[in-house]
Amino acid sequence: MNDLPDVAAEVITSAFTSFHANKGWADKAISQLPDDKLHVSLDENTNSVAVIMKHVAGNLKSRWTDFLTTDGEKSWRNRDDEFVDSFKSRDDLLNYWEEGWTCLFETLKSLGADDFSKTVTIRGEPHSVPLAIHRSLAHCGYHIGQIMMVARILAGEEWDTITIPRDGSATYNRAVWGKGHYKP
Amino acid sequence: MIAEVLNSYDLHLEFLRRLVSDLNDEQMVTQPDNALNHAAWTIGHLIYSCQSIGSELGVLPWLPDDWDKQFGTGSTPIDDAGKYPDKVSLLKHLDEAKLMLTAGLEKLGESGLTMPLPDVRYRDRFPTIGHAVVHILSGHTALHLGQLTVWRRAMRLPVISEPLDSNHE
Repeated sequence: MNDLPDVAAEVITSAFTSFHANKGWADKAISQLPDDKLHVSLDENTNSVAVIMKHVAGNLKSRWTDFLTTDGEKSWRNRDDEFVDSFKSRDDLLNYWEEGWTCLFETLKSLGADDFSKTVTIRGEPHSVPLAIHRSLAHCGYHIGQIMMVARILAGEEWDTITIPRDGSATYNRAVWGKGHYKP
Repeated sequence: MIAEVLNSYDLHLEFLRRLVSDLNDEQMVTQPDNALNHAAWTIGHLIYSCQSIGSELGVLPWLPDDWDKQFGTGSTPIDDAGKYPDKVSLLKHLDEAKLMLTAGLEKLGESGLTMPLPDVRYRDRFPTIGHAVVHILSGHTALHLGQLTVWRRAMRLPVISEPLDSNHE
C-alpha cells in the first residue's frame, strides 16, 4: 500500500487549514483597529500592524509566486521597503494584504502529490516542499500573533475578544477535557 | 510530515525558552498595558494544547485536573505569581508535553495523520488528525510566540531575535 499521495495531500491541506485559521484571527484583530491605529508603533522596536501586514504580504508574494520553479526570494522583492509604512489608505493596505494571501492559497491549491518530493530554494538554500510550507506557516503565525497582541494593546477597553470570551471557557473545558476534543 | 512538524515545533520551543530566559517568576505573570497573555499563561496554554491534541492521538491525559481552568482556551490570565507554577516547573511540563506528543505521533505514524479527527464536532474545521496536529504544533504555537514577543516589548524587556531572523524572512 502506498500512502504517499494521501500523506502529500495531508501536508498541503493541513497547512492550508492552519494558514486559513491564523489569517482569520488576524483579520478579526485588524478589523477592530480604526485607520489611525493601524499605523501606531508601540515603540521603536515594534512594528505597527500596517507594517507587519505589508511585510507578511510581501513575503508571501515572493515565496509563493512560481513556487516550484523559481527561488522563493524574488529579485523584484524589496524587503526593506516592507518595513516602510507607505500605505496611506486602509483599502490599499488590505488589498495588498489580500494579494499576498491569495498568492499563497492559490499556489497551495495547485500543488499535487507529485510535487511533494520536489525541492525548492529560498535564497539558494534547498528546501523540501513540506519544509518550505512549514517555514512559511511558522513565519506567518508568528507575525499574526504580533498583529493580535499589538491590536489588543491599542484597542484597550474597546477590544472585543476574538477567541472564546475570557472566563467563558469553564463550561467548554469541563465538557471536553481529556475526552478527545480539540479547539484552538 | 511528522518530522517536519516536530522540527518546526522544536524551533518554536527553542525560541520560547529564549523569550523567558531572563524572566523571574514575578515578571512571568506581569500584565503590562493591555498585554494580558503573560509568559506563564502562554507556556501553560501551549502545554494544555498539547494535551488536547494528544487526546486526539489516543494519549491519555497527564496534566493535573485543574490545568484547564488556568490555561484552557478562553481562561483568564491573572497577575498573581502564587497562582501559577514557577518558570522551572512550567518548562519541565513543556518538555514532558513534547515527549508525550512525540510518542503519540510516532505510534500513530504518517498514515494515521490522514485519519478523520476522532472528535466529530470539529471535523468541519479540522477534518483529519493531521490538520489538527499541524495547526496546534505549528500555526497556533507560532501565533502565541508572536504574542509573547509583543508582550516583552510592553514589558520594556530587550528584543530577543527570532530564529527566522537568520533567514531574513
